[in-house]
Amino acid sequence: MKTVRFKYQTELAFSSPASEHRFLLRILPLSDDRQQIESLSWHIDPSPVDTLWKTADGFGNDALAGQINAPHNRFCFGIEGVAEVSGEPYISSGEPPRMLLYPTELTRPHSGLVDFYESINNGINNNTSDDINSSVPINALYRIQHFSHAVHDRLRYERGATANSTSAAEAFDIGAGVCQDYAHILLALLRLDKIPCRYAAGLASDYGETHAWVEAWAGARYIAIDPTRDKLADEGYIALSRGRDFADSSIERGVFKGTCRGTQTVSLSMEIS
Amino acid sequence: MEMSIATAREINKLMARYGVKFGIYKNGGFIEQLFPYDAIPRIISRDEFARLDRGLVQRVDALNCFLRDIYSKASIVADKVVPEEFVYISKGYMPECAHIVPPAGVYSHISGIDLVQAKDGAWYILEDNLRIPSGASYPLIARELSRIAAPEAFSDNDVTDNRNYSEMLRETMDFVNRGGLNVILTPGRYNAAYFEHSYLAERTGALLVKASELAVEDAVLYMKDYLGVKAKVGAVYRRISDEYLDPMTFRADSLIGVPHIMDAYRAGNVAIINAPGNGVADDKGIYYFVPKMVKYYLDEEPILQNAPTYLPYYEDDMKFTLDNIKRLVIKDVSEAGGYGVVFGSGLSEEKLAELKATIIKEPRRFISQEVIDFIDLDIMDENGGAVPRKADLRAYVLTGKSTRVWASGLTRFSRVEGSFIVNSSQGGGFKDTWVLSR
Repeated sequence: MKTVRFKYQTELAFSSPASEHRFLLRILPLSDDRQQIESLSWHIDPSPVDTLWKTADGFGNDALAGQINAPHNRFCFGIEGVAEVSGEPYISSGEPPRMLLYPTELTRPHSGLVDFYESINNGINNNTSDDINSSVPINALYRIQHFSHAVHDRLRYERGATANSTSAAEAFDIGAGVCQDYAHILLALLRLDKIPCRYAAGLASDYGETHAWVEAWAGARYIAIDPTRDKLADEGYIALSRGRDFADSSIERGVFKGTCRGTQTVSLSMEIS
Repeated sequence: MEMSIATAREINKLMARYGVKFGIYKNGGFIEQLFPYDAIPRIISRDEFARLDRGLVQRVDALNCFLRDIYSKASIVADKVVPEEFVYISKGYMPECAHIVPPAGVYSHISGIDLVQAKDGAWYILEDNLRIPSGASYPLIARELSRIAAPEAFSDNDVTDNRNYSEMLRETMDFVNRGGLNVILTPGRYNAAYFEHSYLAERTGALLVKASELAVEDAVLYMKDYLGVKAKVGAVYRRISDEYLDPMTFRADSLIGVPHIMDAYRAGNVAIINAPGNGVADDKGIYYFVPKMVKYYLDEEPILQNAPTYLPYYEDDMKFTLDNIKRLVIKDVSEAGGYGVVFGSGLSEEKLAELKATIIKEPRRFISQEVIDFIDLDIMDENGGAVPRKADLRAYVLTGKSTRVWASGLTRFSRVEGSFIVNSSQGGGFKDTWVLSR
């Protein structure tokens, strides 16, 4: 366990004022056996907001819901806190929900992804023919890592190549994307392999933006794995929300009146000691 | 029973005047059209209706059990009565609803069950509609206008009064109301069933509202009037589909939904009628399993039968479907409103081969059914003569404290000779449905 001091903020600047702004922020990390949240504070600006309440979504995440009625040109939200974070990627849990085995709109494989899956799967079978008696969790971990390597090798990291609404299949065809796309493709592959898995959105050290990775079920626990960086999660990862895909677990959702376009600035710091 | 052509014309004219319409989208445009009314009623005997009543109550109770189960323990899946992929791949399955228990545990408050009667008199269930079954207002208003145009038809015949629908609906809303107003949430006048929304609001004393008049604060739903005065809402009969209901939970681009309404629902502060997530139970693929649900949850034999149905998902059924495709009707489980329904008999060899290939490729997407040669009912043609046309029946089943069947229903008929497609969106018409009281 290491102590991690984290500070995160997103600022949305609107080109003309937004009003009657309703929002849902999944920015409240929960403790689990990989991350123990020791202290946490949050802020929202403009302040005070008209209504604000703490809530939970259908996927077990904590969230803040609220509304700002008066016209505003910027909307800012963030958290600050201290966590004890494990260097191990494991998260104990009860049996995962069965829905984590099935594709969503954003993770539905097309024939290209199915072919990709087959080719990786064949590779794994050849390599593990000697390990047929190894215990299930090790084998599962091995498979999960193998798929993650394959996604990492296949995709080129490129901002702007994809958007929030880009599906795993589309990103795969483009051949490039950001953390969300890496995660979606890995989710699609793992689900083809009948491994229950979920999308994790959160903070990662030295990433500069909010990050996304995957938590895959390996027999008795989840393994947090980051296909973008091709590594298992360590002390530098704090999950804020989880779901089947990006749409379930996006950190911010909002609707407002206005004709404006927004630009987004994220500031993030994590001190690991 | 006497009902002249003049009377039928009179009623159709009155309906046009009262704005009894439905809208359809066609080729990118919106057309509002009248739902043609035929004056010859369908007549169901008292005994026959009693049997339908028992069967429908049983079916809807089982479907409510299924929904409660699926969104909690999913024991029917664990017990392998329903394969889990049928549940979790269904477009109607809303994981956001998992572990939410709706007020009083009711999921399907208003169920529209579509039946047909075969030539031997047996009734078959064709489809369950557990999301937003529409259409009850049409027979209601037609009956009302018939009473004005031909009062003697009802004094001379022993027809069960059907004017209690609004009362039943009101009781259904009151039963689950969490304290506060009853409202009917409409997407607005461009919705196919806007006439019905306003009609039912008027009849039940619920307020007809658009999303812009509702707001959630601290997980409580309020209605705001034009002065900004707010009043708590206890039950929402929403006429907006799940996907558009709450941009914070479902489609983020919905402009007709109420942000955070799911939060108020999850907190138990408001009832949503029907419950979000019901689509998983009226999925055409799940339909196959409804008789099994009756046994599983109620430990009873199903009183009403499904049309014989095959799931290409199962190997035997795939083989049967491919071998007999020419006499089967193939339904795409993801479509509704009479779309995605193909009769094997109507396809060229080339199209048949195409369809077969699609079924083999995507077995979960289709069901196949025996074509039930259902009865024709006489309708009046333009000259006052009677011509036979295929007709079905949508029964309305309301669940509150108990489950009750409305002693009437919507009889829809095809206006095309020999056609089996009766949906209003496909140009069909409707009749009044008389349940005899003696």
